[in-house]
Amino acid sequence: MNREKTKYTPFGVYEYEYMEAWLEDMAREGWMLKSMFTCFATFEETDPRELRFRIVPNAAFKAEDEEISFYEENGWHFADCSRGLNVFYCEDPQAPELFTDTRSFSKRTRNYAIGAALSVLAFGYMLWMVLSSSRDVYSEGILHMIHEMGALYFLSLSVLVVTVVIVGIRSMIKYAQHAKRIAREQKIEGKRNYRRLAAVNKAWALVALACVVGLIIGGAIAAFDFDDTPAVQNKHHPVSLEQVDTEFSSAMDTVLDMEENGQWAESYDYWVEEKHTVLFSEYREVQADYSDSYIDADTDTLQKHNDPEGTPLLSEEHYYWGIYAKARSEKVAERYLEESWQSVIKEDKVDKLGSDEKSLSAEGFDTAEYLRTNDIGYQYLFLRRGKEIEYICYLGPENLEDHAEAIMKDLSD
Amino acid sequence: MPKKALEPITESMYYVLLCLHEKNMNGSEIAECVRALTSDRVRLGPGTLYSILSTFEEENIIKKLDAEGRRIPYCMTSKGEELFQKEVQRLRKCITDIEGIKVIS
Repeated sequence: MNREKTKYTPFGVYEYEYMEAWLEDMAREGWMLKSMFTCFATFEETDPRELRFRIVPNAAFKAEDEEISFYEENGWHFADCSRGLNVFYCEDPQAPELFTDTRSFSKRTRNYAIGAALSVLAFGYMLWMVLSSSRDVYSEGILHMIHEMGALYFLSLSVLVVTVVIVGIRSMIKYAQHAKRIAREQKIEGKRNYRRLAAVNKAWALVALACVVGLIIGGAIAAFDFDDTPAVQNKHHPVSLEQVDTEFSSAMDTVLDMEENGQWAESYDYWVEEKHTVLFSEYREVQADYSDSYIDADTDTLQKHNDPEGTPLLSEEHYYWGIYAKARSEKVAERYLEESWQSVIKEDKVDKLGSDEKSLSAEGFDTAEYLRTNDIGYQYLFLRRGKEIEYICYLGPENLEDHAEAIMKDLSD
Repeated sequence: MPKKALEPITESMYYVLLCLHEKNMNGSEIAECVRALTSDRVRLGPGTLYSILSTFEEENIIKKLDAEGRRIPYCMTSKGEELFQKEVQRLRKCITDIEGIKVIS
C-alpha cells in the first residue's frame, strides 16, 4: 500500500489557477491527488508524473456523470470534488484544454458564485441568529462586551470578524476577475506564484483558528465565572411590596385569593432573564400593576362573591416593580445600576417633565439614590451594596423615601 | 436590462450550430466536425462544448435525442434554425460591408 499524506489546501475557492499549479507540482514530486475534503487534500505516493490539472467549479457541487464522460472521452480524468470544485487531470499533452473559450468558463464561475453566495447568506443568517440571542450583551457598547464576556472573547471575536471580512472581500475580487475573464486570460506563468499566496492564506487560516480557540476559551471563562449558584425559581424576593405599601399588598392578596393559583410575585432565576445571563448569579423580579380598570374588574369578581355593594379595594392607580440581583462583580453591579439609572433619567416622562433626584445617606451601601417624577409621581429607589443591587419603581400614596431605611435594613438582613 | 445568454453568439457557438445544422451529432462528433471544418483553427475543449450544449438546451436551441450507449446525440430545434440563419445573415452582411468600405475609400 502506497504512502499517503494529507495537506491543508491553502487556496480560496476562486484561486483555481494557483491550486492547479500546486497540484501539478505535487504530482511532479511523486504525490498524486487521491481525495479532497473541505480544505484538506489527501495525496498518494506514486511515480513522479507530468500532469495537467484543471479545476471546474460547479454550483451543484459534483459534476454530472454526463459531463465527466465528456471529459473522459477527451483524455481528462476526474480526481475528486470538494467545496463545489471538481478536479480533473490529464496525462496527454496533446489533449485539448477543458475550456478553450473563456466566456464558457466565466459562466460556470458565475453560476458557482451564485450558489456560494446563497450559502454565505445562509451561514450569515445562522450567525446572526446566534449573535442576536445575546444581542443585549453587545448593545450597551464596547465596555459592556469587554467586561461581560472577557477581553479574550472580545478580542478573538473582533479579529475573527475582521479576518472573515478581508478574506470575503478578496474572494469577491477574484470572483469578479473570473467573471470578467481577466484571470483566465492572464499568462499561465502567473500562476506559478502560488507559494506566496499559499503562505498568506495559511497565515489567515492560523489567525482564524486562533480566534476560534480564543472564542471558545474566553466564552468558557465568562460562562463559568459565577460567584454563587443560580437562584431557584420562586424564591422569596428580599424586598416585597408589603414593606412599601401594606394596603396595596393586602389588596393584591385579596384579589389573588379569588383567582385560582394566583400569584402576584413573580420571580425568575438568571437563566430565564435573557438580557443579563452572564452578569448575575442571582436575579429576581417582582411586578404588581393594578390600575383602576383592573381593580374594577376584580371588584366585580369580589362583589359577585361577597358584597354586591362593595367598594373598590384601591382608590387610585398603583404600580410596583422590584428587581434584586447579585452581580458577578462589584464593577458589573455598579455599571448595571448606573445604566438602569440613566435609562430611567432618559425616559420620556422624566426627560420632558423633570424629576426630583437625591442621594440618600445609607450606612453600608455604596449607592442609594432616590428619584420622583414630576408627572403623576413615579418613585424610584436604586440601592447597591457591594455586588448586590436592588431597585424599585413604585406608584402610590406612600413615600418611598420614607421607607428607604426599612428597605435597606431588610436587604442587609 | 439583463444580459441574454446568446447575445452575442461566440465563434465556438456558431460552429456548433453549423455542425448541428448539417446533421444530428453527439459531443465528440461535434468537436471533431468543428476541428476538421476550421482546419484546427477552432478547437472546442470538452468543458466549453459541454457548457455551450447546456446553454443551447436551456434556451431550446437544441434538444437531446435518445442516447446511443454513453453518447447522447443532439438535434437543432426550429428556434435553433432561426438563430443559425440570423447569424449567417449577420456574417454575410459583415462581408458585404467590406465591399462597401472599399467603395467609400
